Amino acid sequence: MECELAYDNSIVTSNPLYQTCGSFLCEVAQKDYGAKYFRPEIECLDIDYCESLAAVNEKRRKEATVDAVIGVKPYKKNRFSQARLLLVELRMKYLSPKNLSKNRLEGKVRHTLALLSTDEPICQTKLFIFRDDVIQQMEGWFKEHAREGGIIRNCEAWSVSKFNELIKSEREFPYKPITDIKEMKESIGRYLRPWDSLNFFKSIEYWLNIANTFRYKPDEFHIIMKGLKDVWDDFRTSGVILSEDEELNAEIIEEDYLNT
Amino acid sequence: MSHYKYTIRDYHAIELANIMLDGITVVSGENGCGKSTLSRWLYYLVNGASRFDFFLYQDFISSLQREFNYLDAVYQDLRMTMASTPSSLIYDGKRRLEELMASDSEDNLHQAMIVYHNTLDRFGVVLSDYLKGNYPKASKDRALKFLGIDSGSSLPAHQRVSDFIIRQKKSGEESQKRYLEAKDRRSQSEFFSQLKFHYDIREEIPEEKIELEEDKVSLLKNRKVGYLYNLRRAIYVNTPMAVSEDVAVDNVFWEDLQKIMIYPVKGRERTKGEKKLIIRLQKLIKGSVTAEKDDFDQLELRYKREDGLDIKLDDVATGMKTFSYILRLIENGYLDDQTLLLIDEPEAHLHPQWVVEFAHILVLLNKELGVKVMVASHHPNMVAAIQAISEKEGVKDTTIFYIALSSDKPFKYVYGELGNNVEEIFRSFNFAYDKISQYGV
Repeated sequence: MECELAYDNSIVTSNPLYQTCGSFLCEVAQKDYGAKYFRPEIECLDIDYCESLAAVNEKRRKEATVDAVIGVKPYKKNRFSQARLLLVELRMKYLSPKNLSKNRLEGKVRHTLALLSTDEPICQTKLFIFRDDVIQQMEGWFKEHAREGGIIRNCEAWSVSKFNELIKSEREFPYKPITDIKEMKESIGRYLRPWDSLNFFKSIEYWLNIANTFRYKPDEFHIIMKGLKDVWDDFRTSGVILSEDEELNAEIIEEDYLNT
Repeated sequence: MSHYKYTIRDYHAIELANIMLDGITVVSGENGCGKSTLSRWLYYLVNGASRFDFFLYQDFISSLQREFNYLDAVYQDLRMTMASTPSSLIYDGKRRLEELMASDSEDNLHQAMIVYHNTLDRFGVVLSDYLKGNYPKASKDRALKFLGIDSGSSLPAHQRVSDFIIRQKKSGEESQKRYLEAKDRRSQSEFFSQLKFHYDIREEIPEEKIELEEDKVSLLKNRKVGYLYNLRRAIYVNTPMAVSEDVAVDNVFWEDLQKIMIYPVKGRERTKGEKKLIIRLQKLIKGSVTAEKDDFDQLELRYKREDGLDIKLDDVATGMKTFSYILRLIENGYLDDQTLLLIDEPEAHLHPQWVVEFAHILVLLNKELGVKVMVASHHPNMVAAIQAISEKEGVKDTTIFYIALSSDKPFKYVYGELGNNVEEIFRSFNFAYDKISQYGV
């Protein structure tokens, strides 16, 4: 997957299967591998358990499925896209790719998709999670078999570390400003040294107006305002001499914009 | 800071209005509900109470001037007959009285009586000389008759003139006595009579229907008029067009506004709060407003834009005038904690963004300068902005909203206090959307 992902529990908890087989990814890992491995707050559908129930109810043989289905939403250009279900197979006991079987892996995916039979969007990519110390071999195996076509083309081998690093909480995604804050600071700062009061205040007011146009995009607004506050603090500690009107003007700017 | 309660009942469209003036008061209501009546009479009451003594003094000085007018008819005749008579004796007296009319200080009152007596004495000398002179008897008799002096008396001329001057002086002293008694009495009927005359009021006087309390003490009590300790001046702007000199004729509010926009309070240092508000307003209008002499040596207001444009204030956009009058009133020192600023529909002619800027200025006038503000508004942005900004600026507790609601009686309204909750006002504004649905697609 090319983009960053945030886990999204809501798409999981709203799934009809959640009532009977809702769990946490770390609990599923604990059950199968004796360790939690993942963030404790990521909820999932325990698909293995789900399949067990379905097999009993439908009086059939239990099929192989992936271990869990979690919810994720891609993050790009400061925006999260619609949440999707993501199939996750845990393979933390696999030490060598020789034990992997294309047919078996594809069968797990196929059966899981059949079990989900949902209208919810599902990620095209399916994840197979391995231990960090074997991941290079596993990646090689998946790439190799991808050439053969089939479901395996959309399966990726990830290490536990990669999973924990790339699938994060929504709160952990830093806002990337549209405005070039460094350039903004420089454009104002050049009127501070040497001191040019007229253009300094004009420039500050220009950027305050720009910030105001982002009032309804709070992340951008706050980043610009923080940048302006930095410049302002620099100005206030610079020791420049202000006329009475300039000082009053500075106080007005502080009252209206920078003291909050 | 004092608290004021203003009441009008059963007057024009107002069945009952109990309005608190604690800081910022916003009155809303449909057209014809009496909002302007509220503002108008508050203007009369506050300024009338503050200037009652002065009005009485003006009346007194005017009565002395009228006495001089009476003498002047004869004096002009004598002057033409008697070659060496100074031409401006009575005129000088009247002019001096006019100067002394500017302030009702004790010293001015004392000076006015000296001027009156001296002018009479000098007139007496001229009249005696005339009567002694070789002038036609018919002319002398006519002058004596006009002045009410017995022409057939056997007393010598100077004695008759002396008696006349003494009578005139007594008349002036009686006028002074009446003035001082009226000033001491401060009767309600005299008060309303003065209001009617000085403010050219042509409507019914709500003498028994109006009340103003300062810190729970009535201004009108026991048929007398008290004093307002902490409110000396009301300024009423019912339209920004009032700042145009072409229209400020025969309208006391507009004349008053024009005057105080041009002439500053003398000997007053600007406070820091005033200076900051001036800068804010100059930034908003991107320029300044100055009073300068025109081609006829009369002061006129001019708008000077940052880029050098220099035009009469009359000629700027009406919305700009709204900010300009506030700017000039601050610059001239008329907006302080003794001032009540009354504005009807300040949002008229303003773009929505400027409506909010103006609301900001109004809140700062109250917060920084202590000005009490009463605004009548129809505009959702004005109401919402005053509510939000007053909260941010820490004056929410003294910002009160009112709405005029139809009473059971036709064409009558009762003013309901809403505290700081504007929900009811917005409910009334939202009727407009129903109307759009009704008339539109």
